Amino acid sequence: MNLLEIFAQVGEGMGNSILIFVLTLVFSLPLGLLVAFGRMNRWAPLAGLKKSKFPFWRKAAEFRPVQLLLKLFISILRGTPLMLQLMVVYYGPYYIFKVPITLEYQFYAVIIAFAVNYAAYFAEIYRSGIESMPVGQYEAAKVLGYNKTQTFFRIILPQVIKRILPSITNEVITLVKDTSLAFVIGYSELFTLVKRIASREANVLPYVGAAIFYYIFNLVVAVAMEKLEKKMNYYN
Amino acid sequence: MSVLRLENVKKTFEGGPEVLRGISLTVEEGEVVAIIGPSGGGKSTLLRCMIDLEEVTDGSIYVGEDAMVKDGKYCSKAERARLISEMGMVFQSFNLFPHMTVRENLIKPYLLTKPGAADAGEKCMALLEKVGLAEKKDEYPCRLSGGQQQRVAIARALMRDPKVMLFDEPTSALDPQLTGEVLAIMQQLAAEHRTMVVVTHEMSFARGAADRILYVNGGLIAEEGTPEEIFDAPKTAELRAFLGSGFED
Repeated sequence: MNLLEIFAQVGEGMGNSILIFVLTLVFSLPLGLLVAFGRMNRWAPLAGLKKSKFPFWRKAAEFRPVQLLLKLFISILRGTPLMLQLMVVYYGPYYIFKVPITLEYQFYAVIIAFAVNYAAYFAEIYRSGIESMPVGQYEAAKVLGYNKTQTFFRIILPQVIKRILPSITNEVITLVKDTSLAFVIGYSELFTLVKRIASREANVLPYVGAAIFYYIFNLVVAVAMEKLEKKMNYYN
Repeated sequence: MSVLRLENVKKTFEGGPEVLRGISLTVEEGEVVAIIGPSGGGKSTLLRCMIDLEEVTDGSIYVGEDAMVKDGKYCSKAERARLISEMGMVFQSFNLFPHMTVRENLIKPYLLTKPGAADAGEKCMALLEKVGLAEKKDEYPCRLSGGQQQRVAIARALMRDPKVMLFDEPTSALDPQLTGEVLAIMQQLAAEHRTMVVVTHEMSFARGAADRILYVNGGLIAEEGTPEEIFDAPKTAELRAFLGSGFED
């Protein structure tokens, strides 16, 4: 195997790592907001029992199924390794439904697992941001004629984004490194290929190259996020 | 003609005590009504019920001729929003939108309810002139003092030319030396015969600018009258004690 071939392979791996990174953000950032909405949903179908004489029914009145479901969802996704989640998404359909696994599905499995996992983390970040907003902003919006949707998207969300940006940056930097976890199902991102080349050539140098790649990738991400944070600093 | 009319308004917070225990009052056009009373007496809740920031548990509220709530039953959501839009509200903590400039704070909400209104810019500048902050139009609220922020908030509430302006302790969050500039603007509005309901601890303002004063305590209007009647000849021992407790200047 000559050097040119190795470079071609590594190049493809880098491209795929960047692709995972970009697509994960594209899907998980909006999905996280939806999950946050569900997590904050206060729908209580049994609220009518609030005034019941019996403690059990009073407790049941506080039952919020949507919120509970999303809490469970977030808890599982944050409480188990992403590596295992990748395996479940990739191999699960075969073991559970006997659906044959195609090589094409490998890519989709990676994106699904990453997007859903990161959505769970982003959801909690959104939630903390939204809940930190003073109630006065909602009240001012209401008396000025904003409806609920307008209040959220024009008054609350712009301020929330500024507040949560440092936490988002943290997650995004973790994501750069987490893309390497896709090796567990053999998807040809950088780490998978480097591992393959290193063992075939009996040489650790490819790993050094991988480390440099992840570091530079993150440097670019960190600088970009810092720029974004500065841009949001037009008010305090 | 009455701008705002409340009949036997009652309010109980969930699992809490009854904060308003049957309040009836009428605000006539051009009238300035000051609401005074001790903290926890229900005066802020009363004001917040008027503009639908709190729901009453019983009673009626009429905005002009239209009932927002009648015998504890509220009208449709759209109608409620329409009635709110006839009022302006100034909060204790200003509640300007920090991510918008002063100008945007005035114009954006206005254009939201009146899309494409051609007079927005002109109106905004006229109101900023009026509160003496025209040169701050492109600043963000965080760059303004508390008094300046509250003046912007007053201008913002005036954009839609509301039939009545509600003030919820507008100077309570301000340093003492900054209350004057806000009160001066409120006095000016009163002199222009703008209909106003003002919850306040500023007794000199109540005395000087109000046509009528309500002393609210224990969820009821305990005493009501002209500034002279309230300050010079309080009828109840309770009001005398309140006025003597350091609130009087």
